[in-house]
Amino acid sequence: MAPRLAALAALLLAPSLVAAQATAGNGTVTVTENTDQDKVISVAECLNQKQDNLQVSWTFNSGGAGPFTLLASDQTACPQTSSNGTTVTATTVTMTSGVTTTNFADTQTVATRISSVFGANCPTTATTLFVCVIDTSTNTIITGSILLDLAAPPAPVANTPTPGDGALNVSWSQGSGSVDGGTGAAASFRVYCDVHPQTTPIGKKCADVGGQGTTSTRIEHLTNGTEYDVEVTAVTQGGNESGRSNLVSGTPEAINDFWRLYRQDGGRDQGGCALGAGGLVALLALVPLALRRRRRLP
Amino acid sequence: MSRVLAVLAMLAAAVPAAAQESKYASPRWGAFEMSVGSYRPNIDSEFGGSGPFSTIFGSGRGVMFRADFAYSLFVGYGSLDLGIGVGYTQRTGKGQTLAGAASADDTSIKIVPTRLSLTYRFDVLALRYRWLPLAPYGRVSLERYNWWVTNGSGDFASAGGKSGRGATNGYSFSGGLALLLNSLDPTLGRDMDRDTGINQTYLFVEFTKSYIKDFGSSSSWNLSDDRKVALSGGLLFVF
Repeated sequence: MAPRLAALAALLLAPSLVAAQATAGNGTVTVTENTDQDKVISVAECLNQKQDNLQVSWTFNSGGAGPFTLLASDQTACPQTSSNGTTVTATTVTMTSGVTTTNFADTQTVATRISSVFGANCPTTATTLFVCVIDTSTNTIITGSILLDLAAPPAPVANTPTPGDGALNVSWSQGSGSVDGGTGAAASFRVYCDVHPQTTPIGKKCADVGGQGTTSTRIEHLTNGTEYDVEVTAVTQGGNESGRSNLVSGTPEAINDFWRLYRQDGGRDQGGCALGAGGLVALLALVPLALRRRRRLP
Repeated sequence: MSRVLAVLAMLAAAVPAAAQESKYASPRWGAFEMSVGSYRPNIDSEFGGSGPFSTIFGSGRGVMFRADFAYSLFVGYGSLDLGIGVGYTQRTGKGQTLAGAASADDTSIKIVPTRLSLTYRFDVLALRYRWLPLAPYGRVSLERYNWWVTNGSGDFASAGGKSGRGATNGYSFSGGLALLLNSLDPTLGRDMDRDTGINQTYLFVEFTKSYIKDFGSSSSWNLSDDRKVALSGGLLFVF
């Protein structure tokens, strides 16, 4: 009898167990960088050319009284030696332990954390650094991550700028090997320009152009009749900048837009938004309607 | 002739049951219409017919969209509506280099026409006889075309200290014919009235003669349509 009851209870409980496993997990871990506040580690940060530190905060769905131990790993859930009896290859290091708050500002630089997990050199294939938080009172572990953006995109190919009025219309195509959405993919572009003649790399930045698929921009506030040299670079979301494009040149020139051409040809309209006689009459004509509506009000 | 009139009178008397507007219809107090038509300002009339507008924007016609809301001053033997309307049209072309060649820079003229209109719609027969679902109407409007010209940077154009934006006033006369769509399915029309308060829906065509040149001012351009009569069409909802 008892085994039958146990089996029945197990059958009844099975759906609820499945439902529990399907929930979002035991909590959330948010990993950002302290200085630039983004969720991407760039080449410069990995090489410690630009110093930054990890900032970790977390929330447990239940419990979460702590104290907490934080781990960094190259694999999710920060496995130590084995999982389900199967040996796994992972590198997991302890960031800190005994934390009693629900956030942690790492004192080690990002570069140090990367090298402790991935080795001395910045990894070329890994895309994620995992950070795990263990609630030592319940031995519950939750995982967060931060993106490794450790490749620079290929240099764009710039086209010869077309002249605008005090402006140059600059266009380019992404260099070969660009893959939208992946590490090393161009997330934005940077345009450098200065008065001709210039030698690469041009030092003066003229525009930052957002958008993965953007392939043109307009550089304004230039002088008509003066030749300018232009270069373009691609930038990943983490800030890795490509090499310079080919150097191209263009000269802004005076352009007659429609209004200028109209005025130049002797057009009589003077512009301006003065209220003419018709507009005044139109406004006056609204008065009877307003009065009619007002009379209807109780 | 008298026989024809007699037959028509008999037909009219024979179909009173086909009345479009039931006694249970909701009260009518206004109208809303949306229309689209072709438009080309007659700016080049200053230059003898071919001038900067044609040079920049070519010879084609643009499209003007309009929406009007009207308050019914009178609903009885026809409808007399006082309305306000707003629309939009624009043309875009290439600026010109000083040598006269087309440049890479775009330039546009954008116009937002507004109007105050008085419309009389003779809808008596359309509402009474299903077999005659037509309502002719006439409209007189005070117009104000608000416009601006943009240069290659997308900014307001300017030339010689004169800003490339302003407003041009005028007036227009329109006449049209509206087809009462409720006649296609009166039951559906009554359901729509019950559910939304829209009594009738019309499909209309309209012919407009416009005079948008600041009443002949010597310092204003001519934004009247370059055709003697402009054609437009749209939907009218009476509620």
